[in-house]
Amino acid sequence: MSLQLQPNTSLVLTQEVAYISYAGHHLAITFETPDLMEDVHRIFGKLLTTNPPSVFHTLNIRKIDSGYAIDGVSEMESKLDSQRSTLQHLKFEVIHQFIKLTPNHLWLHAAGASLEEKGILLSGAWGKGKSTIVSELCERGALYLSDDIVPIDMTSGSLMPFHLTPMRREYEDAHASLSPVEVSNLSKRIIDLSADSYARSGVQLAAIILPEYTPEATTALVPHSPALTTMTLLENCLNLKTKKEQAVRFLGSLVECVPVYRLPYNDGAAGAALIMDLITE
Amino acid sequence: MTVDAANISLTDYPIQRSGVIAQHVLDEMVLYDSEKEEGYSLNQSARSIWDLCDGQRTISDICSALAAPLSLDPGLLQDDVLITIQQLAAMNLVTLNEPTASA
Repeated sequence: MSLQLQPNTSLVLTQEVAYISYAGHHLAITFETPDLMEDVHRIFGKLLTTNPPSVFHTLNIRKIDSGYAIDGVSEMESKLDSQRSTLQHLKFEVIHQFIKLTPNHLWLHAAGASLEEKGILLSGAWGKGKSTIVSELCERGALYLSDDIVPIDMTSGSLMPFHLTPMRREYEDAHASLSPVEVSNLSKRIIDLSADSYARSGVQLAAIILPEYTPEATTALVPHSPALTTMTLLENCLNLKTKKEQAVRFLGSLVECVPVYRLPYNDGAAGAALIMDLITE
Repeated sequence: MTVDAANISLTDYPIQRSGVIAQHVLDEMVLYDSEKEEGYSLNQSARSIWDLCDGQRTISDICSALAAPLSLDPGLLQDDVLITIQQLAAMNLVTLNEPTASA
């Protein structure tokens, strides 16, 4: 997962601490250096809060000779050499902290949207075009759950909102075939969603889509093997190592309950339109 | 213990290895090896074979069990079933059972 952030000169920061909230839990990020504050605020977007009543954990970012260090991480002090790698690691660590607090959640590397109270889960490895499809869905009236991380509440079966700032990669040439490294180096543009485009609560799953952006593809929804779909979800389950059997059982059962499709596409708008038709028909 | 998959024969008794989490997903199956932390998907045919790897049937018995409802000659299935079980054994998802006196 990579982030290449664009400048945002309108953001004015006066705090030296950022609070991130999920499911009633509040995490603090403190900054001994202001370098990364703006980027942190941009990445975590609507997950940020102010003046929480308490925090369950604090991560501290400081500058060191060779780059940055994050204190309070799960294993040992983390030393990172670039802003980009520090932000990636910080994002992972924030999610890891929330994973520890939510034992009834499975956390998927996925995107999600809600349409007419029906949840759409977009799963697959990075660079497959999940963010593009979810942003196109939101432009057509769907509500934004997340474009990168979707927690699923195993008790209710609901996809939960996790409002990282929505972004999508900018392809200079939509018809060019790019290597994974080239895809990872593409810049990301923030998607500007209105305040009422964010889902406020969990939503029941209605369909699982596995997007596959390919320049030469014909855009189509193709029914997909339920076992292979389950495998994809397991491969993208961030807490599989701790949930193991529970994750296999839950995700296998989840896949049995909803239609699953591959979405090869070369046109995000057309792909999103097909999903809209599927959900609303 | 991993078996020598290439030497598995029709008279062997394959058995699902303990520690492998098996989850039916409609007519297919997902297997998850919690020790190696690796997952595998089985299509409908492979799942049918997996389900019969109970340590009490030989591979020939499995062929017969699969062929009977289809009114097929079990011999027609032998190559495919044997190859599938060899593949499952190579991935250490099945092992071989010692036949019991009653088997």
